[in-house]
Amino acid sequence: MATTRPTKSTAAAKPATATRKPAARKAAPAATRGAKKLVFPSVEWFAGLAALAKADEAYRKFGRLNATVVFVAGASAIEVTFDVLDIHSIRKVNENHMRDADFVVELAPELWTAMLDDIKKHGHATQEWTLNTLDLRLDEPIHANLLDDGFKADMFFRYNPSLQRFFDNAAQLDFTVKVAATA
Amino acid sequence: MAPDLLPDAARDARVETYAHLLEYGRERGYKLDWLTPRETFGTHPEASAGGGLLLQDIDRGVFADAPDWSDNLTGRPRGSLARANAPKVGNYSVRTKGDIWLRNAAQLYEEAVQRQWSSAVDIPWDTLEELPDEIERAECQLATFLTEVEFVAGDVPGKWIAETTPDYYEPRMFLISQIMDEARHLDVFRKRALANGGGLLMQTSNAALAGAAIDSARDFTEMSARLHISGEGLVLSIFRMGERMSYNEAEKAIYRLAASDESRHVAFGVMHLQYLSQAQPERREEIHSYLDEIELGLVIGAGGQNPATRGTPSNAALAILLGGGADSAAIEEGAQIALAVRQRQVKEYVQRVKVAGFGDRFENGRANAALAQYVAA
Repeated sequence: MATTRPTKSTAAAKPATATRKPAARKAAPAATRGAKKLVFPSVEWFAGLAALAKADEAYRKFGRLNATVVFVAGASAIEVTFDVLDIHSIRKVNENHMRDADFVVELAPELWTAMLDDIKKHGHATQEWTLNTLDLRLDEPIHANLLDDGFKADMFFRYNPSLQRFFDNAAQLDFTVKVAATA
Repeated sequence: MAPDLLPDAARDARVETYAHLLEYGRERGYKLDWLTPRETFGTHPEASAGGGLLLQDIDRGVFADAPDWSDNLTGRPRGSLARANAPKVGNYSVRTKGDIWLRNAAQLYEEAVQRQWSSAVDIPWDTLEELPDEIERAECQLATFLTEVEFVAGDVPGKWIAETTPDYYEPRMFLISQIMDEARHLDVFRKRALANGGGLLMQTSNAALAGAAIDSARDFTEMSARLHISGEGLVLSIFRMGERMSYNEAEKAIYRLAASDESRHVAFGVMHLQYLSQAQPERREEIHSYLDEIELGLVIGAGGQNPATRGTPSNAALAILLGGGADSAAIEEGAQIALAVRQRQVKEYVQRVKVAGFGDRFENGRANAALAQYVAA
């Protein structure tokens, strides 16, 4: 949205509510601290994110998800298996394997960069840079099942809160973005 | 181990034990035939790795076998042994598998149970802050509309639960979980309307009319097509827009979580329609006629789910929220965003109908021509 948002003023009197704030993000696991700077996209980068998610109470609170997802950034395609609350089998894949994925998330290199910059800057993706909004506002959806299986493609929507939290945790990673253009 | 794979000696031992028990009972005046060993005795299903014990894990053999037609009017759990003197407790109208079945119902049900959330504690209500008056009023109007819509979505599936034989318990339980989801949506939008110094505003009669149309369906598939494919699919798009018109983390969380629930309901409808199109191809023409009617409503936008229709209170609210204000420039910008979402909404409807097996209507000219404009855009 291009227009400026109304300025927030002081909170008005509100009904008392029993509120649990979103769980604070825990410190990065040892595996991601003090280690060599990670590069996006890479198996190591997604493994770092997986380690954060598995230890993240807020991620776990969203509940089970079962999906094999391939993230495509330029020439790089990395498969991640979300298996209930575990995340494993993170590996580089080729186009044949992408067809086996429940869905593929693909963004142009500059959009990956902008999205991750936004996450780093704000601690989470803001309005225009969430996976859902990117999927909605770009000319074509950013997610697809390559065999046109709509049930699997719609997992992108069903698991969106989990996936967004997964990526928002990137704010805790020390990394740089180097997306090679598509071969 | 599957029962038919039990070693002969083990199977014989079980049969022998049962025979001894019957004999024991007969001698002492007890009726012990309820102890009949079942095919799964001695088997121990394993839970999914890390995922707990799922219905998909435990239902096997006769217990997994949902019949093509059910004569179960006594509330007998699927697979259990019939008792001859059991009273007839249900006059279920949904007793043909194709009428309600889908392949992924147990999976969707388990997912629904696992991904529940609470409007009381999972929404960061403390992030609500005072908003400019026109924005708060728009929030309240939209929340009123969505409260109304979710009432319909929870109301309609209810009657079909009691109409469905227990032999098709998976879709039955999914519908129960859907009603819980819709109740939560109703409550969370009601809370949003009231939580920030505002309140519920104008009832939008079109939502009630759309609900009445859905509720008038005499067949489950007709209802499901109207509710899950059309209504819920369109509301899903509105929820997906939510992040773009959120003014705080509370609203963002509401829309994100509600969209996740809503997409399960859409998946149910798509997969049911897909099953029906394969299991009962003779009903395809009937289903196409439901889709004809749905598309007419989709084009007119009578149900209020078309965010680009102008002149409705809820869409005016959407335009104000998307545009960031109530001046004409902001409203126009908001309306343009809504139009873009509308295009995606229609494309997603088309894709779902294709997945359900009725994509031929988009190639043979049967689909409503007005949809083509959106698809081509």
